[in-house]
Amino acid sequence: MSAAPAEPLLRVEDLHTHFRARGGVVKAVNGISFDLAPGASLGIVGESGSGKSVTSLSIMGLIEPPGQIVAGRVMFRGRDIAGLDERQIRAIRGRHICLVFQDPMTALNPVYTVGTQVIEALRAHQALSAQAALERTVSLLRMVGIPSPERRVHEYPHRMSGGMRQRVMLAMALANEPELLILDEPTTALDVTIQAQILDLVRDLRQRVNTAVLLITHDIGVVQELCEQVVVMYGGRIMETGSVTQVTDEPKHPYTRALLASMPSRVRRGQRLNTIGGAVPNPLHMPPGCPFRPRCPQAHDACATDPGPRDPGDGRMVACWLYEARR
Amino acid sequence: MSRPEGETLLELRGLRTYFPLHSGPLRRLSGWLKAVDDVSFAIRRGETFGLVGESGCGKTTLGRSILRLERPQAGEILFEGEDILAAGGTRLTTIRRDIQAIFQDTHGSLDPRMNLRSLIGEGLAIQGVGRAERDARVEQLIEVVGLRREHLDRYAHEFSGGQRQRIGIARALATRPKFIVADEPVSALDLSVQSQVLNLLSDLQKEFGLTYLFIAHDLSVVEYLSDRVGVMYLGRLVELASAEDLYADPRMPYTQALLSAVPGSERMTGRPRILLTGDVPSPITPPSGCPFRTRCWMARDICASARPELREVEPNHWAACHFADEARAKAA
Repeated sequence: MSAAPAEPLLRVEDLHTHFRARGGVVKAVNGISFDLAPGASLGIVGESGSGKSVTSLSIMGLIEPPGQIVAGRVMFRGRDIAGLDERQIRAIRGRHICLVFQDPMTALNPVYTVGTQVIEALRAHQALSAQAALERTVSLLRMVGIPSPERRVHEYPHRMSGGMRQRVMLAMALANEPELLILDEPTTALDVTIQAQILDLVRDLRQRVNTAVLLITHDIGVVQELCEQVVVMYGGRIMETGSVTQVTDEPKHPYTRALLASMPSRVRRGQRLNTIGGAVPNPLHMPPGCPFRPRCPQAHDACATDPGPRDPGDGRMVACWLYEARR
Repeated sequence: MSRPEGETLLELRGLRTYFPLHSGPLRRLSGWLKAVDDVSFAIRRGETFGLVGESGCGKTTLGRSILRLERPQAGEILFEGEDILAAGGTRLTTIRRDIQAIFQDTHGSLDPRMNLRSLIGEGLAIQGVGRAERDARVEQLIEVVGLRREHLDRYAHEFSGGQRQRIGIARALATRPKFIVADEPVSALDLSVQSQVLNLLSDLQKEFGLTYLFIAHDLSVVEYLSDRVGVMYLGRLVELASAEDLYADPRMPYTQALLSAVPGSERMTGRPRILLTGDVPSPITPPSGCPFRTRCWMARDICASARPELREVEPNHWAACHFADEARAKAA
């Protein structure tokens, strides 16, 4: 081990993912860059249409026509995986990078038992005998907190509750001990007490298997529970990145500030909530420059050109002309 | 806005809304799903009463029972002192005018073939209000909810989620109701749009003296908007208090666990998280005694044998727990 800074596990470089639509091109992800170190945790937070889910699909090589990665690189362990063909990406997906979606009912196949599906995930990447795969599956189900796993391994997904199904998804995702686990709204469909169980489980599993986590969510509270770093997206771009504490305690970008001030939990009863005027701009007609400009209370002439990443002096990055570019 | 000793507008007495379960080739009645099981409480004129609980707790069925969209098996729903379950004829027409609803799913609740003018005016048309008066009222309402008159000839699908929720609100307001059942009105909306709709609901309450039953699973939204809050679990009301008291000093273990599970709550309240084990039991075969005992860390023998009734543990703070006083010590 040299003293040089650790190479990131994942480096997204100026990624552009576009969708051809009637009437033009939707620039769902429009030039974003971020790093994720091995074993680290990063949350991408944004509202609908921010591009956060398209970012995760781009990393996983799951963008299908009319969508396309038109520019940029997705460097995973030093190798660009954005241009790989389906066969090459399959060797990585499920083995080195795993994805857990919001809705485990559609992600699990209803006609196979949960055991069969975990075993399939295992044997796709590891040479295991049927007996060894079954034993490993039972121990995985036990690890994710499924009671009596010897019995539940033979059950079908519909017999399980939403929380149990999400545990099965985590067992499948962790079957091959991936270096990167992508969680796309993993608890959005769950009740709050079940959500707390799943978040606790993910925290616990991270410590045991030392996997890096990329969490995609609309809920800043969930990011606070799981992540050290956060990326705030809007209109296909990154507005602000930094440590979760920095960004949630002292947001710098006008969008982040407005978003946090519109959370009911941050305002006393009887006080008015902050609102962001207008709506997310039509993705076909994103304004040039900063995408938040039409709704920003502090917008000025400069905002018609892209501010680019700017460092307000405390190690984070803010894409806003209010902050001077350094370095 | 809160009126702690205000007059009662709507009162539930022993409300039971059960769904029959059928099984076997002859579809024989095999049991009952007790969606709302012996719930009693009163909502005061001018207040926002928040109702929280997880999926399957019965909060939506309770709201639908008030709207007469479900038929309760037993109990009374008194609106301005009269049982709406027994009402018929002209009295029912008046009640339908006085009690309106706002739902979560604006896709499902706004007819795609009607323009906004017809959508918002539909309730008035049913009430027999003439065309000219209806139009005047609709034109006024569209501006009240923050949309514009030129939108009236357009259709719901042309609008964003937040705008559609405004249309739903205008529709509910058309008949000048006194009471609105709002079932998850903001849960499908993004945060920045959610805050617009919440502010609008507050403004309208002040302007028109409305009373809300606000049903939601989002505990911070309910805390923000409500004067008093009820917590439901497996069809039963298990705690009821002012929003301040309930969030500061929950006395039923389930409420404690529920509040502590909110992401970021440990950081905000300093109270440790209580992780519940297991899932909510099936409402078809609820546990004997206290419905929460199978997941409760304080449960003892009595919790299985005797159902704890809702009792006043502090002035105006009600909890259904045999050990509500101990529960407090534990949480502190």
